[in-house]
Amino acid sequence: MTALYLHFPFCLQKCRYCSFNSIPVPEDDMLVTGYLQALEKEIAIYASFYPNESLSSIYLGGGTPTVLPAESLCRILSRCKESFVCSPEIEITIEANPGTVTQKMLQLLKDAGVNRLSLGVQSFKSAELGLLGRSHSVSEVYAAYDAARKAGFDNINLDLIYALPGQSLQFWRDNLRSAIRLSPEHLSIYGLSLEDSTPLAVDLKKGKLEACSEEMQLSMWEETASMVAEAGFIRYEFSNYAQPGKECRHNITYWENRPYLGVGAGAHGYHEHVRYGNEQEIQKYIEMVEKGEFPRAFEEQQSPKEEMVDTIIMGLRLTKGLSRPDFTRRFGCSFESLYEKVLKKLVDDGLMAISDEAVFLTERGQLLSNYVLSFFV
Amino acid sequence: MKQQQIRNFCIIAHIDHGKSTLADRFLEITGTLQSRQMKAQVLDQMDLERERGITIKLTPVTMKYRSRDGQEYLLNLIDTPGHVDFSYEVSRSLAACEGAVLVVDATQGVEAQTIANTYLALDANLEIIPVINKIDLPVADPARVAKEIEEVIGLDSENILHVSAKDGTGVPELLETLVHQVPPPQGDEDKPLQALIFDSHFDPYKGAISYIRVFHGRVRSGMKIMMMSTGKVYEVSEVGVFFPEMSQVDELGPGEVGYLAAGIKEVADTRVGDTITDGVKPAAEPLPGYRRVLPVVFCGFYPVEANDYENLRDALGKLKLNDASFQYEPETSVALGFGFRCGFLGLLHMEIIQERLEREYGLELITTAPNVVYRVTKNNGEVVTVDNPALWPDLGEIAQVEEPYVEANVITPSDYVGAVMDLFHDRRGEFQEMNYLSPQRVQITYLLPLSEIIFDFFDRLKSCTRGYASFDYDISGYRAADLVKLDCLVHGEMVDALSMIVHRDQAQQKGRALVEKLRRLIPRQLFDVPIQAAIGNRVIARETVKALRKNVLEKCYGGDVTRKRKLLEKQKEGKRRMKQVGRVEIPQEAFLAVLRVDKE
Repeated sequence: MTALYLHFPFCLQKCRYCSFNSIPVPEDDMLVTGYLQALEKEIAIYASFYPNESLSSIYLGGGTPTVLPAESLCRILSRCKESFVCSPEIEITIEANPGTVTQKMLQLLKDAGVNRLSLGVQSFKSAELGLLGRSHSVSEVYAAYDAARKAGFDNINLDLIYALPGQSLQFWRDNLRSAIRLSPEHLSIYGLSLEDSTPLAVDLKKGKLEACSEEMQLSMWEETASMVAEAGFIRYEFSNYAQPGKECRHNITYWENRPYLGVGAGAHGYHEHVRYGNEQEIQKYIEMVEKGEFPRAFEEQQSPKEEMVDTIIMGLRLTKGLSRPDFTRRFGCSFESLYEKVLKKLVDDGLMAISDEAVFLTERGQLLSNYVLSFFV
Repeated sequence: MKQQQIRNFCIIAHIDHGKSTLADRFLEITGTLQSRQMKAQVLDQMDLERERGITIKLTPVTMKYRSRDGQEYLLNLIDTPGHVDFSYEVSRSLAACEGAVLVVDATQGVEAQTIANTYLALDANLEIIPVINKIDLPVADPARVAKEIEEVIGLDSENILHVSAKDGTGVPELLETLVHQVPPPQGDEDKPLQALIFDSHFDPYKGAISYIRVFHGRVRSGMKIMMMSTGKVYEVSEVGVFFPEMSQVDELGPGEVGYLAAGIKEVADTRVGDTITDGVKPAAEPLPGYRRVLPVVFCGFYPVEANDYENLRDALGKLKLNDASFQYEPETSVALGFGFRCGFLGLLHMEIIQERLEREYGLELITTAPNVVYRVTKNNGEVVTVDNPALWPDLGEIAQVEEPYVEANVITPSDYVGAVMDLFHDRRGEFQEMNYLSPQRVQITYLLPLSEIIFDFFDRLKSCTRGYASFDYDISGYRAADLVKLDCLVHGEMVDALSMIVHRDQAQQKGRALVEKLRRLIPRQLFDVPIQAAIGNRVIARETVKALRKNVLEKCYGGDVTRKRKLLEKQKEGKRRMKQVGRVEIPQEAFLAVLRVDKE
């Protein structure tokens, strides 16, 4: 079983905190058309190599896939379905910016098999949306959510960002309460973290904005944990909360370090022990695909040791931790025998814990996961 | 060759005034090297020196020169190191010569180092031939520079030669002047052998090679010789001259310069300044001027990786083979583990050794802050010398402390006099005198503690004079001072490698600066880490590194696991380079923080 990630590197506009591979949707329709053709072709290349690959999930991410016409997205999706074997319970997620969707469009996507919608809400406050450079309004959030429900989506995620410059604890509570009131099935809640080159990072550096203090970030995280728990959500990963049974299967593939194909400019994949990253630049990506080759910027054969390290550092992000039997089965020896000393130290420091089934991070360990995980690389 | 035809000389020049270029021209004109063989500045050997643009020392060279009167001469060029750290070696090189070419840059003028070395040469009764170099440059001002030479050094400006070592102008005339003005050696070949060691190097096949100037008698291979300072006897296996490669000859007679190999195991047994005499029929007296050079600056070298200790010891041993003036002995630090206490002639010397260890031997080192040698008189009258702050006696035992002082000379454009005096006052300097060399250039003399110049002084001087000042110093003895040991406690543990000796008046300010600096350098741990500066039991400054409570990469970038792994690897690498003191991990930079406490 494999997961499939499809990248759509176009947005209405670039958000002020964004460092992902995306560009404002071009005036020139040719580039978009060319890109969509290249996506189809890349899918076809994979299908020719791996005709029997069965898919457990498909994820249309970006960028903002929904800046493109629903018909185009549906067409890509049907190519995927024709090219690979899809599991009957397949999870198909699409990311959407609330300002880019209509009920009609959502209906088309739903009918084409998309069964999970991830809405990039980020905040329920106009001023904060402005600060982040989001292209949508608060009322568009509500409109998009209603439209999605009307279109029949029964598995909706809302993306939220906390720890914004100048954000008070009260403002964050308001945001979270607004999100919970909508009763989504899933919440992805990230602390704002900025790459140096982004406009928001530059403003912070210049002192135009004041970064959120660490104490405040912690209070917000703790507040988040208790508010969402009260609403019946389970935190199954550091930043991800779901109603029981609604965990995102696609992302769990990453965290359990299982294989996934990445298709599209700048997409990453991990398949048959090879990690790869596609060419980011759209035009170059198209040219490479047109030549019939994998449009990769790099690929690395993973050694068993590297796979083990990745399995640990990704797996320990999950609240349930790393399954001890699975680990032993996959790598031929037990986790605790390999890391006896480190494990003891981390358990003594109250950062890790061990049960019959799993090794996992304590809450404190999760908050300090960079420190904890660096012992395993 | 008869002594009448031998000329032994050296070149005195400030950094970048053109010593190496001039030496190259000599080699070219005398045909010692064909010009196609010439690399730029052939005589500089160490890469390090070349990179820093400091001439530490040129290899000696013997050149055959036919002068305009038809006579053939042997010219021996013996170089002097160009840095104050090596002033004893300079004095020995000068003692091996009868003449000195004083080179001054026509665009710069006389510098402090030049004056110091010229005075040494005058003390050694050398014939001095003043030369103004770089007259080809458009900004050359030979008239002004000639006036400076006349004023400062007292040489008649009439006799100053104008040359361009770069294009060769005036160099043939210089060689003529040299053979006619520098007196020939006056040795007696019938007296017992007396040869001065002015340098040495270690050869893996032949052992320590002594660079010698024969004064009296003769030396040939097979002969028994004795080192007069130690009485050790060796049998000469080879003598030769520098042409400029080492070339074997039958013997060296009075006035001649060359090398000698005698199966000597290390350069420490062929000490610069020592006299080599006949092992069977020794001379009654050694040549004057020998003294044992003692290190004045000490610091600790510790391997970053504890299991590199043996490698560090081997490397130090190998460097010591070639450099008798540097000392090392094992020491143990609570904070840093096993390492070595090393002694150097000065800061440059320390940096050279440190860089060679890192570059040539691939070692990663933690260097502790350098310090000078203190003299502590205890209440019971016992006097101890302390070259490591960790070994400072207890506060209650100390009756008196003395520290080494230097007389420092700075030559600076007059615009910067104020800035230079401010710098000296910051460094506990006492004004001695000030002389105007010309309306634009001033010589300033201060007395100040050596400890105040061993770190950062030269950089500060350069920056406050825009690079125009030159600087030289001379150790002038010990003076009593009100010094205390400032300790640093990290999470309640004394970190011996962070202790420093400071003047009591500065203790408060330095302690404060140190803890603030460390607060920024010590990464946050899983718990609060108090950092304290203390004198004895009295805490004078305190800061806290707050516990780390959140350190997590929240977002996983669309399946980009490589990126996450790299981030964690970086974090791990950072951890590897830290030293665990008690429960706290301290990064390497922290151990040098003590140096920089007065920077802000």
